[in-house]
Amino acid sequence: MASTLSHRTGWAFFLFHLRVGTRLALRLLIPVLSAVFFFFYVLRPEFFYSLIDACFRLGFPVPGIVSTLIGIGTAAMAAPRVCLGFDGWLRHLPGKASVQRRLMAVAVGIAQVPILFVLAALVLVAARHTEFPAAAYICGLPFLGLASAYSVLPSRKQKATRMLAAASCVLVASANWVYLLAGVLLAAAADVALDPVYSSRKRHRIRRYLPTSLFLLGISWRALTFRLILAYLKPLLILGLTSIFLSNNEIDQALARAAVRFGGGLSLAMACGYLAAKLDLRRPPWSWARSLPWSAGWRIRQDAEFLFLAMVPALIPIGLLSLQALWPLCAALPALTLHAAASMRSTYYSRGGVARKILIEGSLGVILISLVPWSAGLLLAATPIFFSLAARAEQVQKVSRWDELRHLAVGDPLVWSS
Amino acid sequence: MIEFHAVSFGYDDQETILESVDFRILPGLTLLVGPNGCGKSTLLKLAAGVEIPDKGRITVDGFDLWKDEIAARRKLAYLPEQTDLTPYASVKDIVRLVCRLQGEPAESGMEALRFFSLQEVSARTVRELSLGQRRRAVFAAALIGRQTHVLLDEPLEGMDRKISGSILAWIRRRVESGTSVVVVSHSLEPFLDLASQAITVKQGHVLTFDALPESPDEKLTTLDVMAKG
Repeated sequence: MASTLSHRTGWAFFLFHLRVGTRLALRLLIPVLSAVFFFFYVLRPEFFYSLIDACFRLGFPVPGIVSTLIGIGTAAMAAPRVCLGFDGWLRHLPGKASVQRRLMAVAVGIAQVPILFVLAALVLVAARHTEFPAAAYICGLPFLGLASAYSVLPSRKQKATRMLAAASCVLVASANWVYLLAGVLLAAAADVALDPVYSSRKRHRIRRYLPTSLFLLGISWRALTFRLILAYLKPLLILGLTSIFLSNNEIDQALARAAVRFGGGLSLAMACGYLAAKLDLRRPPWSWARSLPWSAGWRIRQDAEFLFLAMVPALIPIGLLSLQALWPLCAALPALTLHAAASMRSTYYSRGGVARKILIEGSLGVILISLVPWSAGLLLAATPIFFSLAARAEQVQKVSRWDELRHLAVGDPLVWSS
Repeated sequence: MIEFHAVSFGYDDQETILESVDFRILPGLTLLVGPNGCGKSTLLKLAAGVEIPDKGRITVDGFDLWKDEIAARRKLAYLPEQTDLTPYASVKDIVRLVCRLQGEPAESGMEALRFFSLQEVSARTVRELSLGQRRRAVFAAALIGRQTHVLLDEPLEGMDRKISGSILAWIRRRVESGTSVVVVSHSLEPFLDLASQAITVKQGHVLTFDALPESPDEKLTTLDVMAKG
């Protein structure tokens, strides 16, 4: 009787987590396929062949480590979406904690299927051109999915499990049958070591009080932290392309400066748009704060200052390319950050969101500055106008209105784009 | 009957919420009252098997909540204060899961969704629901089955008058059928006539009142004193 009951509850949980995992996998499928097609056509298949060849030629543990980083990265994205509620409502349901935890690992593993499939396909295609044991690697991929899930599942005592699971990931993805067997054994050990009981109870971190003058700046910093670094990645790519353009073409100084202004301006608009979008998502308008004795202008100034400070590191590589091209961009930066702060408050109905708006509108400004550098002076002179427009946008926004479209697309901190 | 045997619990080493408490929850409506932060929701989480006690054990109709996990939890329905549902599960998935676990036909899940007017959003995933809809979805899940213990954390919060009335009627039916219903609530009046037991948490200890006064005024005064700590 007890065994039948246990099987029935296990089956019910399996179906539930299968659906959750599949939904996550489908969600991941489109970005993964888009990225693969983009890189395949931009970088050409030869790039992948040489990359995979180089990876496998270096031998153990390089392929394993690379695959582990990919696997654990994907699992880390999927796990919070699968495990939410494991220490809450889901936990009170009639199921063993150990069974639920294993099925959550399966769900996280299923969510990784698109990535694992792409890895398998790339390795299969590359195996035609170079020689390495593709079969052993592909057989290890399902175990890579599971082991990486174990490395990110929440538990009370995580250290041992994480180490075992990470070691298992490296071994199962090393394209060696012996290592694969050892990796599977380590994954089983990680399963045994993982404490099925999970509680989100945490020690309360003591935070310092923020001075009033820096309050919103501090909150914005807490909302973004390491995401600031991510904001500089895409701009660096644009600046890299600009640098390649300059080194591969013999052009006069004026045109070179215009190119740097264009590339640099575009990179600033992209970084600023990214940060504004992230800030809008992670630190949405705070209705209650509007009742405090702060002016709309003050709130705008805090956001614009934060974005301005965050943009300063992005100016360094532009200055390295051309110091003369830097000044027009510096002059336009206050207007850009104020416009970004205003856009955070006025893109309520836009499905594209803040990032796209700033990129499109910023690009127009960038083209203008690239062609007519002194127009940046006009933008600098127009800073008070940008400021008053932004303050007005802050005043007229409807902070407590709930909109389904916004909620579906960008409002939820658990969506992939967050 | 839910029984706490020498249960101790704290969120960290410095502060103990419950210290070696022994008590039991009787059939009927039990109001869990007290000031904010005294440990009402924590007590409910412990009774629902969401948090594990640091010491001691909790039994549900004789089954240990952490040893006979399935048998004990089959007798529980729980409405948490925060609806932390899996974001990529649809409302239908959640309801189907509970139907399967409780051995109920799928129709009773649909009935629960109809009760909360959620049929039209049943295909949506949790992340596509508003907070109010999420709360109704998790309440709908609590409606499925014939569990003998129902644990409700602020059941009327965020509900409109019509649904509040239906919820109160449902609680009444469950109480009359012999179910033990535990309600954490700051508003006492809606539950006044049904309440037969009251519990409060004070400085790590649980105080229970098994026999509340019959007179509504006296009952309200007693509960009011307990609620104010």
